[in-house]
Amino acid sequence: MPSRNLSTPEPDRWRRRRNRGPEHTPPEQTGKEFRGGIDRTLVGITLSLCGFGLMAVYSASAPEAQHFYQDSTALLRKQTIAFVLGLFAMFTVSRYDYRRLKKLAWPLALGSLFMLGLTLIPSLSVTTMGSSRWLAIGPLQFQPSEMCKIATIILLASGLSKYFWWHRQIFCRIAVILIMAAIVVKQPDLGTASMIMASLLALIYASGTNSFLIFASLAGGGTFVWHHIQKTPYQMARIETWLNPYLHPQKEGWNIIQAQYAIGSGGLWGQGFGRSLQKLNYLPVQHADFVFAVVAEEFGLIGCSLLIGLFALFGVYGFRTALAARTLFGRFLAIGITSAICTQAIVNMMVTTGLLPVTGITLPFISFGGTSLVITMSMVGVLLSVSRDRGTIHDEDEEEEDDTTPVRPAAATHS
Amino acid sequence: MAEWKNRRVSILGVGRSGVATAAYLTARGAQVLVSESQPKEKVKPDLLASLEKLTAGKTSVECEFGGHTERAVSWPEIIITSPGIPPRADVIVRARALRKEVISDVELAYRETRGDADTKPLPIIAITGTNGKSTTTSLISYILEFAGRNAPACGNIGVPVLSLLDGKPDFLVMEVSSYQLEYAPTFAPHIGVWLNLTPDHVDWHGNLDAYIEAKRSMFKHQSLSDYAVLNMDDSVVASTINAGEFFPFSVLGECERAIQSAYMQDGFFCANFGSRSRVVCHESEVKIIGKHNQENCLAAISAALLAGLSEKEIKAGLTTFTALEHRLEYVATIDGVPYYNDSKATNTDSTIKALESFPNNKVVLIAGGKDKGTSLNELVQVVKRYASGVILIGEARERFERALRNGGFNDVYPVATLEEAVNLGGKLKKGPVLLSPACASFDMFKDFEDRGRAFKELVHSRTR
Repeated sequence: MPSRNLSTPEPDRWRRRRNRGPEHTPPEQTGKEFRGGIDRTLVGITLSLCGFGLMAVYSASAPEAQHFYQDSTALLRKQTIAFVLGLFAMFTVSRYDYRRLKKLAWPLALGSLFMLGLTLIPSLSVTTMGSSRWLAIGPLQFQPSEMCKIATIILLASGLSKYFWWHRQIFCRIAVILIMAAIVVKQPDLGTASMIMASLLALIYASGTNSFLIFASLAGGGTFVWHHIQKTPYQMARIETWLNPYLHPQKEGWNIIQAQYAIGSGGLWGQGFGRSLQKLNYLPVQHADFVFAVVAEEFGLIGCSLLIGLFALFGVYGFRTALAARTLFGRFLAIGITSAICTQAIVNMMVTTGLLPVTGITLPFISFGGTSLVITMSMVGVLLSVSRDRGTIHDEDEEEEDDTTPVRPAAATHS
Repeated sequence: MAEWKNRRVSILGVGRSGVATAAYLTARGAQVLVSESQPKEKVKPDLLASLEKLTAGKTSVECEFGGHTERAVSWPEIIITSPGIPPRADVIVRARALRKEVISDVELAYRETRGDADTKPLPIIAITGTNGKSTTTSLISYILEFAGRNAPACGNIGVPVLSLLDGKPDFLVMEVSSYQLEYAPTFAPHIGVWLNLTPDHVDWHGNLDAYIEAKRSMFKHQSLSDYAVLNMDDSVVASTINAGEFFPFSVLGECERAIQSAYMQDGFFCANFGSRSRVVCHESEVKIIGKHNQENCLAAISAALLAGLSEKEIKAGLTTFTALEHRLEYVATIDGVPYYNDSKATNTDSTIKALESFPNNKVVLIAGGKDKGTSLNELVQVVKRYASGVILIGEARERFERALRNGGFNDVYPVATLEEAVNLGGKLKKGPVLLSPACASFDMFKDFEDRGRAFKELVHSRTR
């Protein structure tokens, strides 16, 4: 198996390469049982995605940056700073024992709930495009709802690894998560709220809840969302334009139509790097929510397939980490993080291609957005930390099964 | 490992664990005072002999009998108590008032096995619960030893923990009672198993909440990499707050879909663990019968999986394990009537479980003994379903008879002795005869083992 070949030998290679300085003191090790190399395939996939993202952000943001800052690399530089911070966060997090997060679950959740609450105060929050998602502290701006995503996963994963799903504790945790989601809906940012709910559902499903409850809550949530959409005119308009973008081609349908033009003009091989025309004031938020359209126009079907393939690989290796994790907590964390990132990617791409109504979700690793990138990369850091704590049980089982079941090779030779 | 040289320790209560503790500590150079409230004549002679062997030619061990003196409380640095002394007892209250640390031998063993710079801590598998502890403990120990691990069963089951520490085992499989946990403030096993909870020993702890708290304390101090194996069919057990990871098991199919669990499916013992579902074996392959034994098997499977065994190793142990003495033990079949000895059933709940182990034919139940005064409503309902007759012995017989007749069950035969009961059971020929008294044995016998042996003797004498 490729992952094993790449990741098992020389477990400390990453660390050695980065620790060359003599002044460096090695980080505190957390017990003898926690060791092993991080999954280097996952690191490779993540870095490829980030590289792709920086490239796409530069290309997509250059005209706007030129226009506003008279410097085509202004947004790229911002994103690069976030990327470096994210890289730092990712590797730092990956060196620590993820099991410590169990103790951080409640503080993290309550902290992000508090910060989320602060966005409801008009003087503290920054409002862009009718939605007050950002919190400004001095020159820094960040999005508490991004933090909520990871807080949700950690809170629920720690709960589900300790208690059975109908335990009172789990209900408390779900209640806190629902409050978070409600505040995010109020911002209004229905997209992020539905992402929070998606990771909640994924974890609850993985924990072995009965399917009736899952479907009942899905139906309930669907009803609520439908009700909310019908109440809010701009969201209703989005649904209408999703069904028929040419209903208001100059207003609500604009985004989708322009995105489709971009994807269409990309063709098989694309226009080439930096040669997208749609990004020149045609596509709105072309470096954030609609970055995929720019990628499609510049790199064509091949580039898009590559990007989608990278996300698919990320999913495969993320879930493989979950399977190999030695503890229940690690398994839930890996499931939660992988499904959160992949769901977000799928939803964003579906929005860009017009398969889903516009929600305002960014493409992880690719879209412009500092908080999002740093948080996503630290989530990957947690995933890498889980991948270090591989169980040996998995490998032993496979060998044992090959020894004791002679049926399988026999069947293989027959066919 | 703590340094014991010249430290002053007093041991309250001369029992098997007390003597083992004294031996362990004196071997490490501590000053030991053994204090016993009973006069010397009432202490079991074998214990006295081993105690005398310990004190012979040494000044570091002293003994006192017939009551705990003030010195036993004020002199030592640490007090190790027998689990038989309740926390409300005078001596414990005095010791705590003097701010002395009072711990049980379980706690001492735990502290002694935490390891240091070069030794790893010894993993402890601790089993607690109201019923089925001993079976599960010996089952886990049996499975692990069958798979080649050195994992002796110890604790409440009869072997003091401290007598095993010098043998350098791989695991300690420990049966812990709520008494021992009451005096184990930091005890946190690597794998903690809690089987079930029914109101028992409430008089000792004071109230039910204290009893539950004592049991739960075992899981409260667990670290992040420890495991709690919990029975999901028991609501109190299932809602335990634990600090480590949990591993649920359920006979009723509560957790078939859980990511990590042990459960029954179509009569097979199965487990989800390490990202795959495993089938261990079919229930008919296991030699111990009854629904409560299925619980015990699932608990043992969970603990063994967490200890790193494969399902094949577990199956090898599980299918060769036979029932312990006095726990639904098959005795003999005479004139077509099979006899079962379940003398260990000292409360109504274990009797109910024993009755439920015979779903196909109704049994003649022999019950009674020293009355514990617990409610009989549930027992009467189960008796009506599973029993064809009830033979009552001991001082509890009047209350049992009244309860059964009020419940609408009239095949009740109060007799004077166990011998009459066995004879009557043979004569009735209404199904298998089951001794499952639902009461303590102290009115007619020394303990439940004595009662069980007497029963077996009587059954075997009928063959001749």
